[in-house]
Amino acid sequence: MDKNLQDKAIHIEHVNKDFPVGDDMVRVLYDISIEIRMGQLTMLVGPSGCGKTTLISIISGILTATSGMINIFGTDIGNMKGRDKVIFRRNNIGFIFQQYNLLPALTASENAAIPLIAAGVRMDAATKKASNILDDIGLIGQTEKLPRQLSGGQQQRVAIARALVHQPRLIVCDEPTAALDAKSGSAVMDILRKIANDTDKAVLIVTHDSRIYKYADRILEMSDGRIMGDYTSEEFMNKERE
Amino acid sequence: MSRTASAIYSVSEADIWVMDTRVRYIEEVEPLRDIELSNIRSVEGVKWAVPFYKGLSTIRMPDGLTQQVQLIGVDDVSLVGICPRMVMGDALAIQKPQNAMIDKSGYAFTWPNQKLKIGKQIELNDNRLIINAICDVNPTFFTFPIMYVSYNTAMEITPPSRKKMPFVLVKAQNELDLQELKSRIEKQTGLQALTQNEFAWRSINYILERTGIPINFGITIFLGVIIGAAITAQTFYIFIVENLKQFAAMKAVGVTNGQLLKIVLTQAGIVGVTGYGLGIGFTAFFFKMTEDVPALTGFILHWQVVAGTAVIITIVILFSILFSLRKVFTLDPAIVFRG
Repeated sequence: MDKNLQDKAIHIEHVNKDFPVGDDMVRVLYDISIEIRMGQLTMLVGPSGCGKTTLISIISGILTATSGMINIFGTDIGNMKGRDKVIFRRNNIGFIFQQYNLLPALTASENAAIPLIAAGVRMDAATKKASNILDDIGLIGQTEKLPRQLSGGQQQRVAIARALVHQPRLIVCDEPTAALDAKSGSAVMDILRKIANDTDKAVLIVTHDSRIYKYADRILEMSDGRIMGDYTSEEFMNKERE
Repeated sequence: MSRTASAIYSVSEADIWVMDTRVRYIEEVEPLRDIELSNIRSVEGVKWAVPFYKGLSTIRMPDGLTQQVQLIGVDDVSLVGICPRMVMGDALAIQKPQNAMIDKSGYAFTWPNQKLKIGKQIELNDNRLIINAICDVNPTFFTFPIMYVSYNTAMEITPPSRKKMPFVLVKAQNELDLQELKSRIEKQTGLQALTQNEFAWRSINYILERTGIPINFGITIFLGVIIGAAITAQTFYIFIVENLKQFAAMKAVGVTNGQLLKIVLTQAGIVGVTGYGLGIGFTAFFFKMTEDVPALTGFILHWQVVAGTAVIITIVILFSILFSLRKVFTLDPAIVFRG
């Protein structure tokens, strides 16, 4: 592997994305180039519709870019095909969604174990490992509860456990605190901050929540499909105050 | 359909039924001349031949109410064709004049809510009959009560006619080929001779071909399958649509389409087996609970029906899954990021 890429979690260059609208193509990302190193908690901020979600979808291999290079942990995923991409995601990326998206019929530990089960780990071993992670992030004694028996903050922690259980190196979060009160949001961000401190991992968060900017090492500001600024959290909060 | 032929299979002693060539099924009666009985007995290979009467009659009860019955007249001496399972009284009673035997379900139908009792009097064509025996018969196509009398009694109490003998029952001599004996009877008498099985299937086929019953049953089954399939497919589709975000999330975290198929197949299998078990169980329970209801007696849950239902349900479930899963297979997991 290129020595330069070794500590880079994400390296994308000149990424464009077009979506078909009727007979026309509409560009939503313009020539995006960014590098995110391991051990960093990076936030993508910007107004609704600026392309944040499209960008993290491309970075995580869910969407395919129209053009450009997408290198994640030294692997060019831009040219990967269907099943390979799914397996790459399964092995390297953990997802935390705004609405948790837990399966209502499964317990907390079963929900958290899904990536392991998908990878072929036996059910009992997978749920045991998931239960350990749930305990680590403060859900001791809640592992056998169904999602409807948990609060929003607890459900988001289950989603965090699901994102961590297979030990991915990149955690992609979409508005992880949007549905949570301040206390639960802080608890969730404390966990994500701790993960990002690991020099082998990177956390990428899309957010509108100004309460959590302080947790970021770096904040990328987007507008109209372009990266408009690259700040530390202090720089960005000062800019916002002005 | 077994009800259609039960009157034939109930006569276990005879090998061959002889009748007019125009008879197409058991309920169609074209009487023969009495002399035909002697003609049949004279055919080489016939061990014995006895007359057998079968026809519809109307009985009148002491309170003046009337009831249509299937009147069966069996040979006075041998009683060939008599109901074999006695419930009350003695079958030999019908050898006496003005004595009759009725089937248990017919008794309940004629005298509802009354305990079985012999000695009841009825009137048939101005002739008095006493019910001196009660038996249990296999259910027949028509649900009329079945009344057994001796052949001679049947001749006396039914309206006079030049020809009154509908069937002749024949027993073949030992080890004689039945097809050979049939040919001899037909050749020598000009009548139609059929083995028990041939006559039973001819009767069943007549009902299938000449009545609306199979079409009505077929339409009911067809509609049941179509409506069941539509409801099942729609239910699955709604389930899939309501859980699209969850499916998208699973796809995003690395669950493949094959694994999603396994999950949905497992869910569908559990629902299908549960529904199938409940359906077959309730059907069997219903048949068990209604086995003594005259109009419903004799319904049997054949293994072919159980197996056929399982196959149809499997097809319906697979169709529903294919119809619904297309949406999951083509689902863009990126929707999970949309609000």
